[in-house]
Amino acid sequence: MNIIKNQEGTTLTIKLDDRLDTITAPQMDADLKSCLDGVETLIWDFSNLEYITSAGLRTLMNTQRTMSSKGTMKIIHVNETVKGVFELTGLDDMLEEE
Amino acid sequence: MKKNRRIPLAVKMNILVSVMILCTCALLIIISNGAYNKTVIEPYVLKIEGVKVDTEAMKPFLTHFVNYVGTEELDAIWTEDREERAGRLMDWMQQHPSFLPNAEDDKRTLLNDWVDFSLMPVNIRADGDLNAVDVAVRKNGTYYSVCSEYKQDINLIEADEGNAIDFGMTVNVEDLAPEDYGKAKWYQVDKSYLLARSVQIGLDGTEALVCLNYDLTDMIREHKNYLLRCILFTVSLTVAASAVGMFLMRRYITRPVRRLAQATKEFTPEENGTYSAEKISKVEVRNRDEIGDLSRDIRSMQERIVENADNLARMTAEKERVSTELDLARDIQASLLPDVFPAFPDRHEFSLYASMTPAREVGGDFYDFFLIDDDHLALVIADVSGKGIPAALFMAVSRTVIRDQLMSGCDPVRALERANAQLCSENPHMMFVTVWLAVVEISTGKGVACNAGHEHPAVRRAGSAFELVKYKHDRPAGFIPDTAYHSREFELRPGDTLMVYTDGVPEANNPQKELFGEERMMETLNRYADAEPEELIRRMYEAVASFADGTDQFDDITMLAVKYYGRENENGEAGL
Repeated sequence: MNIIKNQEGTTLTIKLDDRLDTITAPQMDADLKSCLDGVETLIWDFSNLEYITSAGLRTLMNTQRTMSSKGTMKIIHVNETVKGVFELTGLDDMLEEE
Repeated sequence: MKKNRRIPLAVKMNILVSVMILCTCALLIIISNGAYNKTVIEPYVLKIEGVKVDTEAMKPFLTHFVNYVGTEELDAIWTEDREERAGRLMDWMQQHPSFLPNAEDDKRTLLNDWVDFSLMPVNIRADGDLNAVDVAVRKNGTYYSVCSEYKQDINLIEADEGNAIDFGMTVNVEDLAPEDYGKAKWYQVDKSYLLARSVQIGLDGTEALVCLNYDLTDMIREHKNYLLRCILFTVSLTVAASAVGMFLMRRYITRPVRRLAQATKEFTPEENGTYSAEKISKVEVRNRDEIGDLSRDIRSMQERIVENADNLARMTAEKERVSTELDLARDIQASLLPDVFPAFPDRHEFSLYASMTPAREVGGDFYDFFLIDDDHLALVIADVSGKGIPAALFMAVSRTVIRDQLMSGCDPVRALERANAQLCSENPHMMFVTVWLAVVEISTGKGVACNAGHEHPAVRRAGSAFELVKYKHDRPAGFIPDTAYHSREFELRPGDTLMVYTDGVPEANNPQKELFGEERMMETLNRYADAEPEELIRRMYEAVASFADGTDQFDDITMLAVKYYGRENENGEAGL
């Protein structure tokens, strides 16, 4: 999985390729530990993300919790499959989709 | 194979010092020798080569002389005794005034000529140091010596073939190769050192040689003595320096280093793997240099090793303690999950089976089932975010809260909402848990289920295939307080099987990093669609294990399956 980060001021955009699942989520978790310093707005760009599993959802939810104390987080450009996963796990209203 | 021989430090240093001293001294000797040659010897060479020999003036005399040498008459004069010889010669010469070129002139008698060096037909006055002038004529292949300046008498001596013997000094005329004539050359005659130069004079039919000598024996001998002394001094200096060097080296370097080496050899571990502080080097080295530093560094290193070994031992003991406690925790956790099967042997309306396999010693998944009352069966399956001890603790709380709420008669929604409130309140690490729970009315098969972010249940209607029941879920518990949960009604008919699981099943991975996936799961379920819950779950485990092919289990794997038979009628047959 490729992680492309783009930071402008206090806004960080993370773009992921491929999938966020049990195998790739730990890599994302490790990365997130350091890159959220000073970030107030976190944007996940899922235009290239094909699939997400509950491991990936956990990563997002945990990040949501972290971000809620210092700013906001939103997810943009989800495909139908990913959107479906969010809906079915009841997390669609939790994470702001654009 | 060349084996590297061990050479002690002291020896190496010795060699180094010796070589250095020898080289320095050799250099000095060479330089001083060169200086000596330049300042002392060379003037002689220049002088001797610069002396003019008036060969023309000498010719008449020499020609005349040639006639007389080698004759029997002259041979008869020869005797060993020099004085006798000189006397005889003088007598002979007086008898042969014609031997002298100008016999009438008293001053120019041969004898006077010989004696009066001022008339010597060799212009050597320019040089006062010249020790000797040898003149030799050759007759019939033999050289005959004629005169030598520094002697005031003359001798006529027959010369050997190749040797001109003159006044006890042998000049090997043959050594004078034609190209040497005119150049100064060194000769060692007996124990004397001569610097000689020869001039060839051609006579009618024969030749004569004038040989000029410097007898530099004393000078050369002295110089050689000087050199010898220098060399002796050098050697003694080298030996002394080496000895001192060896001693110092041994004392200040080799010995401390040996002691340090010994100290490191003795620093061995105890049986239990730790290091005793008693074995730390006690070597005291007084050197205020790198050896002293080394001694201190070795000691401090050994101290660190002792400390580390202690730390390690403590950590290992700690680890073992934790491991033991983890095993205990695993047992405790396992006891929280009902694991006696068949669970309700006297209830024939349904059968169920469940199993949880943690990824680590303790896990975050759990299942639960219990009879709320005689006609209501509660089923729970849940997955705490994470693994290990933190998840296990959260799991214990979740499970207890849910069970309490359901047991006290609440409906699933309320139970979930209350559990959620409780989990959110004491949750600084923001963990959450996905939950699926259901309450089934055993007599009718009707049930109510809630899904808080959990995987879709799989249901198989009798005679059909397993399918995932998909609908919109609520969010997991422990995440946001005051979350509203929703329930969904369903109905189980006889022969139906319900299976719930956690994501450890579809997300199990193999060495190629592929996931087991929903499809494989459904396919496996449907292969054993008719099986009883226990067999079904076992088959699922097998399928996952064989797919994983040795990969470490990444997530907890939990499954709960229920098969509904319906209410017994009086005849013991299932049916409704």
